[in-house]
Amino acid sequence: MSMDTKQKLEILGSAAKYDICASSGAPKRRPQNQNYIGSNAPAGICHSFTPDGRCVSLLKVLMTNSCKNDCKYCVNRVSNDLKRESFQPEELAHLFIELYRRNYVEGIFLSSGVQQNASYTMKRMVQTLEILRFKYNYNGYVHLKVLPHSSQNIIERGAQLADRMSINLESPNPDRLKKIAAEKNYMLDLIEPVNMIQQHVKNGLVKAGQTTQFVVGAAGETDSELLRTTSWLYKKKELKRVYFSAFVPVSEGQKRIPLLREHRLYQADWLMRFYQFNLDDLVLQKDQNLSLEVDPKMVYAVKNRGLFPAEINQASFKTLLKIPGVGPTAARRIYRARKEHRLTELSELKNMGIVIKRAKPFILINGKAQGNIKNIMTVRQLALFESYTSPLAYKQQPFLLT
Amino acid sequence: MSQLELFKHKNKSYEDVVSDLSAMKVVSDQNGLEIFKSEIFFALLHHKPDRFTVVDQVIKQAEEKGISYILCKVSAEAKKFRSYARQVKVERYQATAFIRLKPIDQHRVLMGEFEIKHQTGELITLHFMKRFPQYTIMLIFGEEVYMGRNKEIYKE
Repeated sequence: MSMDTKQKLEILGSAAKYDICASSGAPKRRPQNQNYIGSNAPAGICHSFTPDGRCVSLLKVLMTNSCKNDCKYCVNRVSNDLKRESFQPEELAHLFIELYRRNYVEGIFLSSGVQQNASYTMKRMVQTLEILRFKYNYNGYVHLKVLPHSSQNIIERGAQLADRMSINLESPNPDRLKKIAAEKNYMLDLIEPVNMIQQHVKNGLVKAGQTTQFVVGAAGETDSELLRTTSWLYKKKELKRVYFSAFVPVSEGQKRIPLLREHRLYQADWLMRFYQFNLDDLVLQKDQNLSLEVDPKMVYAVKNRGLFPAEINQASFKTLLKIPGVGPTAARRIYRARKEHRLTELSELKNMGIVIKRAKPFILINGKAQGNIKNIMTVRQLALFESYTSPLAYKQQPFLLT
Repeated sequence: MSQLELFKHKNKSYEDVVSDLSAMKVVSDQNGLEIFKSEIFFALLHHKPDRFTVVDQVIKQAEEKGISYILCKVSAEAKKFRSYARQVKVERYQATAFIRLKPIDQHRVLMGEFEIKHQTGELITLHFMKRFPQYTIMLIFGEEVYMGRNKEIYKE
């Protein structure tokens, strides 16, 4: 690899860390001495998790970090003073295929700043993929980021080449978007491409579906707004995944959002996707945000104490999923095992992967209670829940549902 | 596959074991049976000598209480059995992610080196053969060398 390409990879790989395809970027760590192994320097390789739990390494890189937009949340915005670099399509394709051949990476995640205009940059990104697919006969995984305001033709070509496509919505509604990216039109530049990609997915292209990403806290939006739009995207636009990225200050005077908020949003997102929770099952605080203190599933269970304790040998699959400490896999195991064998011991549940400490107050085994909620939660935490509410109690209708 | 040989000293082949399973009362659960067979396959590639005992125990338990009893890890033995299978799968997966390949012989051969604990060499070689069908794959695992070419695997 030439020095020039290496330098470009360092800059453009590092600039891509704000785009999420799975795990968030980590800060650089200084070794204590010379006897260390491994480096988490943001040089462009990102670990992404497939739906079956496998972790794959992707070359996460920008085509260019030059951008004509001035979005307040973005490190690559035009008003930010930083070194700008661009890859040539052939250069990037060659770099990737050499890394792939050596098994450093197992796929590519290609994003970009907007150079000149969206169509020009997208054309270069698509050209890179064409070189990979047709010149190098690359048959592996490609995640293509779609730029706002891209044309229909270029999205269609991208859909023919990529396994997954995504466009970052950044904000849950147009009003919030105006505050951080005034030049973008929410419906035309963002929702329209989502519709186009959805159509391509329906037509059998983009096999791994589409995803999107929100910047949490950049425009002062609440968790309620984010979760409503998320739920709408899953139900109406059939997105595979919505990512949340806690806002990281990119200039002085901006406030950092706690990472725990991002974590709670992911927990709520998983409850909706894998635990059969509806939007109105999620319990919010008065300020329309999720509790940072206690996880959303525990909040639900405490708030709905009337539903528990549930008899483990009789409870429906849906009820099992709502018990804290019981995940979808454990719920399936209980459901399956009890068809042939009556569960009588706490140790059996432990073997099946249930987190006993959390589940105990909410279950009965063979009619016997296993614990008390006061053993896992303080009186103060319990008192907090009395004032909690649900997103549907939020009177202002989001634009998408009207 | 190498796990076929593992059972030989017990006068039983892997195929004998899985064909016995079909006679069990729980055979109505065809999907469960397939998962159970696959878990036996992986558990037998574990490096610990007690893998045979563990597999024998869970087969007995499956006959008495059903395959779900094992797959749902209700007993301690079932838990151990699935843990063995998982450790093998994890090692195979780690190797496929962490082996760095070096193109040699004018880019016709991809060579890599890795340390493995379980008997996963063949599975790892198969993975790379699938990924790079136009190359010869040469993998070194300690003192064992696997070479994959034209859908055949050679071991030294």
